[in-house]
Amino acid sequence: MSSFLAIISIILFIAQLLVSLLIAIVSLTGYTSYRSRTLLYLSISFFLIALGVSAQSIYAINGSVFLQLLGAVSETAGYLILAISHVYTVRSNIMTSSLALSFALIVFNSSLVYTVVKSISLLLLLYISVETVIFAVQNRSKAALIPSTGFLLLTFSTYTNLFLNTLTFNLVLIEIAKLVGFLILAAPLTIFVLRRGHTES
Amino acid sequence: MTYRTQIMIISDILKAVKEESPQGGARVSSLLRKANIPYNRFTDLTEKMVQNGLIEVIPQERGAIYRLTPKGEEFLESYKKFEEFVRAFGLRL
Repeated sequence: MSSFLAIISIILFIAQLLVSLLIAIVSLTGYTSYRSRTLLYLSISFFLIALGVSAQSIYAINGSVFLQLLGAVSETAGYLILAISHVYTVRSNIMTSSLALSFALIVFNSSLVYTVVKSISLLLLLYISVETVIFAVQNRSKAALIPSTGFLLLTFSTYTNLFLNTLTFNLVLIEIAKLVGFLILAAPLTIFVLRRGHTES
Repeated sequence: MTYRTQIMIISDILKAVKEESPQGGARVSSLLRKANIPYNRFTDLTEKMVQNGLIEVIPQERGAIYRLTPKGEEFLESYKKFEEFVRAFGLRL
Protein backbone atom coordinates (compact mmCIF):
# COMPACT_ATOMS: atom_id res chain seq x y z
CA MET A 1 0.00 0.00 0.00
CA SER A 2 2.84 2.34 0.95
CA SER A 3 4.72 1.71 -2.33
CA PHE A 4 1.46 2.21 -4.27
CA LEU A 5 0.98 5.58 -2.57
CA ALA A 6 4.61 6.47 -3.30
CA ILE A 7 4.12 5.72 -7.03
CA ILE A 8 0.89 7.77 -7.15
CA SER A 9 2.66 10.58 -5.32
CA ILE A 10 5.57 10.58 -7.81
CA ILE A 11 3.16 10.58 -10.79
CA LEU A 12 1.36 13.58 -9.25
CA PHE A 13 4.67 15.39 -8.71
CA ILE A 14 5.68 14.76 -12.34
CA ALA A 15 2.32 16.06 -13.60
CA GLN A 16 2.73 19.19 -11.42
CA LEU A 17 6.26 19.64 -12.78
CA LEU A 18 5.09 19.39 -16.41
CA VAL A 19 2.24 21.87 -15.93
CA SER A 20 4.43 24.44 -14.16
CA LEU A 21 7.20 24.02 -16.76
CA LEU A 22 4.68 24.53 -19.57
CA ILE A 23 3.46 27.82 -18.04
CA ALA A 24 7.09 28.91 -17.50
CA ILE A 25 8.12 28.12 -21.11
CA VAL A 26 5.10 29.87 -22.66
CA SER A 27 5.78 32.94 -20.48
CA LEU A 28 9.45 32.91 -21.47
CA THR A 29 8.47 32.72 -25.16
CA GLY A 30 6.24 35.75 -24.63
CA TYR A 31 9.02 37.59 -22.81
CA THR A 32 11.51 37.04 -25.65
CA SER A 33 8.97 38.54 -28.09
CA TYR A 34 7.59 41.44 -26.05
CA ARG A 35 10.18 42.09 -23.29
CA SER A 36 7.33 42.32 -20.82
CA ARG A 37 8.43 42.37 -17.19
CA THR A 38 5.21 40.60 -16.18
CA LEU A 39 5.96 37.65 -18.46
CA LEU A 40 9.54 37.52 -17.14
CA TYR A 41 8.30 37.38 -13.52
CA LEU A 42 5.70 34.76 -14.46
CA SER A 43 8.36 32.67 -16.19
CA ILE A 44 10.93 32.85 -13.33
CA SER A 45 8.20 32.19 -10.82
CA PHE A 46 6.97 29.00 -12.52
CA PHE A 47 10.55 27.79 -13.18
CA LEU A 48 11.21 28.11 -9.43
CA ILE A 49 7.93 26.33 -8.64
CA ALA A 50 8.96 23.55 -11.07
CA LEU A 51 12.34 23.32 -9.34
CA GLY A 52 10.59 23.12 -5.97
CA VAL A 53 8.25 20.39 -7.18
CA SER A 54 11.24 18.43 -8.60
CA ALA A 55 13.19 18.69 -5.34
CA GLN A 56 10.15 17.54 -3.39
CA SER A 57 9.54 14.60 -5.73
CA ILE A 58 13.16 13.47 -5.23
CA TYR A 59 12.66 13.93 -1.47
CA ALA A 60 9.66 11.58 -1.73
CA ILE A 61 12.08 8.91 -3.04
CA ASN A 62 15.23 9.37 -0.95
CA GLY A 63 13.90 11.28 2.06
CA SER A 64 16.68 13.90 2.04
CA VAL A 65 15.73 16.72 4.42
CA PHE A 66 17.93 19.11 2.42
CA LEU A 67 15.89 18.46 -0.74
CA GLN A 68 12.65 18.90 1.19
CA LEU A 69 13.84 22.30 2.41
CA LEU A 70 15.26 23.26 -1.01
CA GLY A 71 11.91 22.39 -2.59
CA ALA A 72 9.99 24.45 -0.05
CA VAL A 73 12.37 27.44 -0.39
CA SER A 74 12.28 27.28 -4.20
CA GLU A 75 8.48 27.09 -4.31
CA THR A 76 8.23 29.97 -1.82
CA ALA A 77 10.63 32.06 -3.94
CA GLY A 78 8.40 31.31 -6.95
CA TYR A 79 5.29 32.52 -5.13
CA LEU A 80 7.22 35.57 -3.87
CA ILE A 81 8.13 36.59 -7.44
CA LEU A 82 4.52 36.04 -8.51
CA ALA A 83 3.38 38.24 -5.62
CA ILE A 84 5.96 40.89 -6.64
CA SER A 85 4.57 40.91 -10.18
CA HIS A 86 1.14 41.60 -8.68
CA VAL A 87 2.61 44.45 -6.65
CA TYR A 88 4.29 45.97 -9.74
CA THR A 89 1.48 45.57 -12.23
CA VAL A 90 -1.99 45.47 -10.68
CA ARG A 91 -1.56 46.36 -7.02
CA SER A 92 -5.03 47.13 -5.79
CA ASN A 93 -5.76 50.04 -3.50
CA ILE A 94 -6.64 47.61 -0.79
CA MET A 95 -3.29 45.81 -1.04
CA THR A 96 -2.61 46.46 2.64
CA SER A 97 -5.92 44.82 3.47
CA SER A 98 -5.03 41.85 1.23
CA LEU A 99 -1.76 41.38 3.09
CA ALA A 100 -3.39 41.92 6.46
CA LEU A 101 -6.04 39.35 5.59
CA SER A 102 -3.33 36.91 4.52
CA PHE A 103 -1.45 37.49 7.81
CA ALA A 104 -4.67 37.02 9.76
CA LEU A 105 -5.28 33.66 8.12
CA ILE A 106 -1.76 32.30 8.46
CA VAL A 107 -1.09 29.68 11.13
CA PHE A 108 2.37 29.05 12.50
CA ASN A 109 2.08 25.61 14.07
CA SER A 110 5.77 25.06 14.65
CA SER A 111 9.06 26.92 14.76
CA LEU A 112 10.69 24.48 12.34
CA VAL A 113 12.36 26.16 9.37
CA TYR A 114 10.47 23.99 6.87
CA THR A 115 7.15 24.94 8.44
CA VAL A 116 8.10 28.62 8.51
CA VAL A 117 9.07 28.50 4.81
CA LYS A 118 5.83 26.71 3.97
CA SER A 119 3.93 29.27 6.04
CA ILE A 120 5.51 32.07 3.99
CA SER A 121 4.38 30.18 0.87
CA LEU A 122 0.89 30.08 2.34
CA LEU A 123 0.95 33.82 3.04
CA LEU A 124 2.14 34.63 -0.49
CA LEU A 125 -0.41 32.31 -2.08
CA LEU A 126 -3.17 33.90 -0.04
CA TYR A 127 -1.99 37.33 -1.17
CA ILE A 128 -1.86 36.25 -4.85
CA SER A 129 -5.32 34.64 -4.59
CA VAL A 130 -6.83 37.73 -2.98
CA GLU A 131 -5.18 40.07 -5.54
CA THR A 132 -6.37 37.87 -8.45
CA VAL A 133 -9.93 37.85 -7.10
CA ILE A 134 -9.81 41.65 -6.65
CA PHE A 135 -8.47 42.06 -10.22
CA ALA A 136 -11.24 39.78 -11.56
CA VAL A 137 -13.95 41.70 -9.71
CA GLN A 138 -12.59 45.19 -10.52
CA ASN A 139 -12.08 44.38 -14.23
CA ARG A 140 -15.15 42.14 -14.43
CA SER A 141 -12.84 39.50 -15.89
CA LYS A 142 -14.37 36.05 -15.72
CA ALA A 143 -11.11 34.68 -17.15
CA ALA A 144 -9.20 35.85 -14.05
CA LEU A 145 -11.66 34.10 -11.73
CA ILE A 146 -10.57 30.68 -13.03
CA PRO A 147 -6.87 30.99 -12.00
CA SER A 148 -7.91 32.44 -8.65
CA THR A 149 -9.63 29.07 -8.03
CA GLY A 150 -6.32 27.42 -8.96
CA PHE A 151 -4.41 29.64 -6.53
CA LEU A 152 -6.97 28.91 -3.80
CA LEU A 153 -6.48 25.15 -4.35
CA LEU A 154 -2.69 25.61 -4.09
CA THR A 155 -3.27 27.63 -0.90
CA PHE A 156 -5.46 24.84 0.49
CA SER A 157 -2.86 22.17 -0.31
CA THR A 158 -0.02 24.27 1.18
CA TYR A 159 -2.09 24.88 4.32
CA THR A 160 -3.02 21.22 4.84
CA ASN A 161 0.56 20.17 4.00
CA LEU A 162 1.70 22.06 7.11
CA PHE A 163 0.07 19.36 9.22
CA LEU A 164 1.08 16.29 7.21
CA ASN A 165 4.61 15.07 6.69
CA THR A 166 4.23 11.32 6.23
CA LEU A 167 2.97 9.68 3.07
CA THR A 168 -0.67 8.86 3.72
CA PHE A 169 -3.80 8.64 1.60
CA ASN A 170 -4.73 12.15 2.80
CA LEU A 171 -1.39 13.51 1.56
CA VAL A 172 -2.05 11.96 -1.87
CA LEU A 173 -5.47 13.64 -1.92
CA ILE A 174 -3.82 16.97 -1.08
CA GLU A 175 -1.31 16.45 -3.91
CA ILE A 176 -4.25 15.77 -6.25
CA ALA A 177 -5.82 19.07 -5.12
CA LYS A 178 -2.48 20.78 -5.83
CA LEU A 179 -2.30 19.20 -9.30
CA VAL A 180 -5.85 20.35 -10.05
CA GLY A 181 -4.75 23.83 -8.93
CA PHE A 182 -1.82 23.74 -11.37
CA LEU A 183 -4.08 22.44 -14.17
CA ILE A 184 -6.51 25.31 -13.56
CA LEU A 185 -3.56 27.75 -13.71
CA ALA A 186 -2.57 26.18 -17.03
CA ALA A 187 -6.08 26.79 -18.43
CA PRO A 188 -5.07 30.15 -20.01
CA LEU A 189 -2.63 28.19 -22.19
CA THR A 190 -5.65 27.00 -24.19
CA ILE A 191 -5.74 30.55 -25.67
CA PHE A 192 -2.67 29.60 -27.72
CA VAL A 193 -4.04 26.23 -28.80
CA LEU A 194 -7.65 27.17 -29.55
CA ARG A 195 -6.84 30.30 -31.56
CA ARG A 196 -3.95 28.97 -33.59
CA GLY A 197 -6.14 28.55 -36.70
CA HIS A 198 -7.46 32.10 -36.34
CA THR A 199 -3.92 33.57 -36.39
CA GLU A 200 -2.90 31.63 -39.47
CA SER A 201 -5.99 32.62 -41.44
CA MET B 1 -3.64 55.98 -14.51
CA THR B 2 -1.45 52.99 -15.31
CA TYR B 3 2.10 53.43 -16.59
CA ARG B 4 2.36 52.15 -20.20
CA THR B 5 5.45 50.41 -21.49
CA GLN B 6 6.70 51.01 -25.05
CA ILE B 7 5.30 47.68 -26.20
CA MET B 8 1.87 48.63 -24.80
CA ILE B 9 1.94 51.93 -26.70
CA ILE B 10 2.97 50.11 -29.91
CA SER B 11 0.09 47.68 -29.47
CA ASP B 12 -2.29 50.61 -28.86
CA ILE B 13 -1.11 52.21 -32.13
CA LEU B 14 -1.54 48.90 -33.98
CA LYS B 15 -5.03 48.44 -32.50
CA ALA B 16 -5.94 51.98 -33.60
CA VAL B 17 -4.58 51.38 -37.12
CA LYS B 18 -6.57 48.15 -37.33
CA GLU B 19 -9.75 49.91 -36.20
CA GLU B 20 -9.39 52.35 -39.10
CA SER B 21 -8.65 49.62 -41.67
CA PRO B 22 -12.22 49.53 -43.04
CA GLN B 23 -11.78 53.24 -43.94
CA GLY B 24 -8.66 52.39 -46.00
CA GLY B 25 -6.13 53.38 -43.33
CA ALA B 26 -5.57 55.55 -40.28
CA ARG B 27 -4.71 59.25 -40.22
CA VAL B 28 -2.14 60.71 -37.82
CA SER B 29 -4.67 62.82 -35.91
CA SER B 30 -6.88 59.82 -35.27
CA LEU B 31 -3.93 57.68 -34.16
CA LEU B 32 -2.61 60.39 -31.83
CA ARG B 33 -6.01 60.63 -30.19
CA LYS B 34 -6.59 56.88 -29.90
CA ALA B 35 -3.05 55.95 -28.80
CA ASN B 36 -2.96 58.99 -26.48
CA ILE B 37 0.68 59.98 -27.08
CA PRO B 38 2.48 63.23 -28.03
CA TYR B 39 3.40 63.80 -31.70
CA ASN B 40 7.22 63.48 -31.31
CA ARG B 41 6.86 60.15 -29.47
CA PHE B 42 4.42 59.01 -32.14
CA THR B 43 6.82 59.79 -35.01
CA ASP B 44 9.69 57.97 -33.27
CA LEU B 45 7.59 54.88 -32.69
CA THR B 46 5.90 54.75 -36.10
CA GLU B 47 9.33 55.09 -37.75
CA LYS B 48 10.52 52.02 -35.85
CA MET B 49 7.28 50.20 -36.65
CA VAL B 50 7.66 50.93 -40.37
CA GLN B 51 11.31 49.75 -40.27
CA ASN B 52 10.18 46.51 -38.60
CA GLY B 53 7.44 46.00 -41.17
CA LEU B 54 4.53 46.26 -38.74
CA ILE B 55 2.82 49.14 -40.55
CA GLU B 56 3.15 50.86 -43.93
CA VAL B 57 2.81 54.56 -44.72
CA ILE B 58 0.78 55.54 -47.79
CA PRO B 59 1.52 59.15 -48.82
CA GLN B 60 -1.61 61.17 -49.67
CA GLU B 61 -2.28 64.68 -50.95
CA ARG B 62 -3.15 65.80 -47.44
CA GLY B 63 -0.87 64.00 -45.00
CA ALA B 64 -0.30 60.27 -44.94
CA ILE B 65 -2.28 57.26 -43.87
CA TYR B 66 -1.05 54.22 -41.99
CA ARG B 67 -1.98 50.62 -42.78
CA LEU B 68 -1.36 47.40 -40.93
CA THR B 69 0.91 44.92 -42.74
CA PRO B 70 0.38 41.13 -42.48
CA LYS B 71 3.37 41.07 -40.07
CA GLY B 72 1.73 43.78 -37.97
CA GLU B 73 -1.53 41.84 -37.96
CA GLU B 74 0.31 38.71 -36.80
CA PHE B 75 2.18 40.69 -34.11
CA LEU B 76 -1.07 42.19 -32.82
CA GLU B 77 -2.87 38.81 -32.69
CA SER B 78 0.02 37.23 -30.80
CA TYR B 79 0.23 40.23 -28.45
CA LYS B 80 -3.50 39.93 -27.69
CA LYS B 81 -3.06 36.26 -26.78
CA PHE B 82 -0.26 37.03 -24.31
CA GLU B 83 -2.26 39.98 -22.96
CA GLU B 84 -5.17 37.62 -22.30
CA PHE B 85 -2.79 35.00 -20.87
CA VAL B 86 -1.36 37.34 -18.21
CA ARG B 87 -4.81 38.86 -17.53
CA ALA B 88 -5.98 35.36 -16.66
CA PHE B 89 -3.37 35.41 -13.87
CA GLY B 90 -4.78 38.71 -12.68
CA LEU B 91 -1.82 40.60 -14.18
CA ARG B 92 -1.17 43.20 -16.88
CA LEU B 93 1.34 42.77 -19.71
